[in-house]
Amino acid sequence: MNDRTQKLDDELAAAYVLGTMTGRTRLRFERRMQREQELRERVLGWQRHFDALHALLPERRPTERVWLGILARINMAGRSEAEVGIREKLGASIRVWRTLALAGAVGVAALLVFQPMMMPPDPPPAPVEVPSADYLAVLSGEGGRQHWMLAAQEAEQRLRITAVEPLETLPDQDYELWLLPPEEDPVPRSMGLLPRVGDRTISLAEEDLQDLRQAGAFAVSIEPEGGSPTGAPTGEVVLVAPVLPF
Amino acid sequence: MGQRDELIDLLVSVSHGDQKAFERLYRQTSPRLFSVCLHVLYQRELAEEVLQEAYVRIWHRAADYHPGHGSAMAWMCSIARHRAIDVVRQRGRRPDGDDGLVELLVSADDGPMDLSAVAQENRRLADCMERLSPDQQRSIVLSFLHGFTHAELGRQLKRPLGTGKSWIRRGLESLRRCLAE
Repeated sequence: MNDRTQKLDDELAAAYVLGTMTGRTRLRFERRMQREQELRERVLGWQRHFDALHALLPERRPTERVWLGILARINMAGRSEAEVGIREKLGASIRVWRTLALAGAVGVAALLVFQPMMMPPDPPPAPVEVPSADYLAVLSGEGGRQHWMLAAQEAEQRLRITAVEPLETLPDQDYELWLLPPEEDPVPRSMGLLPRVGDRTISLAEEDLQDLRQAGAFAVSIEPEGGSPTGAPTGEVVLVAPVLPF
Repeated sequence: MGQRDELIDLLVSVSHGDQKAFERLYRQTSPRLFSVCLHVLYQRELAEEVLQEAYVRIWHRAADYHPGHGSAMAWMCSIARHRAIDVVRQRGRRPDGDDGLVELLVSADDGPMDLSAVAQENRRLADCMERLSPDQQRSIVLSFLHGFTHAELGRQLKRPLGTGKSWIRRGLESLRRCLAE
């Protein structure tokens, strides 16, 4: 290749990276790039240079829902995996739970405490509300430790939130629960504060149930005591869990 | 530790699936990447949508980053810019977009540009850009940051199509010579 052709290719590569090369010329250039290693390297070289121009841009802060949307999407992508994981972890317990639910014996918290292998033949008497959940979400963190468990009942339009091993808070902070609709760019809806001990039952609106049916997700953020002052998450999002039909 | 090294460390953790590191990376870099998207798209909502896609991509592709390809920030900006330009090419640029969102970096009658921020990222490029005429500098910077075609550039600088085009051509020619020195 002579100097002239090299010079021309280099300028084409620069125009390609700059973005001023358009239409058919661009397509032709891209086809050449697929075949010619040298051309690809020229493009990469210009890219390395021009990328530094981004430093000229003033910074602009996006709204918090972008981050929540990203979190929901990367957790959705791992959703089937997460679902399998949660099901495996809970699988046996869930069967036990169902059996016990039929027998009308044991509450949500008990389910998480009992490993099936260690189940005594006769479960000890325990808090007694028959859980018949239609949807389930487990808010678990590092090492798969389960912090809160969420069980929704469709007919009663209720969500029961159980503190299993809740995360610790600073005195002036609370954990707030959010429902993320199953959309590309979800606007989170507050479901109130998470209990530090025991459980809490809240009622669900039709809109909430619809999001549960269509596989939304729950998220937890750290908020000032009493909850988010703005109606949208303001602090760090610490846990996310997909909703599983149960 | 400088911000550069810190970003690289964060990318390495992200490539191992560390969501906490990913959030720190997001907090540190999203104002810059959002600006990249806004300058191409001119619409806040669309820019947020594209920003989201860019970070989902960064999450999945963090392992592809190599320091030899430039700074971590530049690599991430480039992912956002490409995604934004793809969107503009598919849907066309909306002329009724919210121009007020975008601070045009340079107007048609500005003098030489302040390239000190560029120099921190890439000394050589900044030096070579300094040698261009102000018109050439502006044309190249505007084309790159806004994803302008020659026609859009002409409209922006209120010059005939051929003028912007030749500023770019001559600008790239001198840049090439200077960078090869």
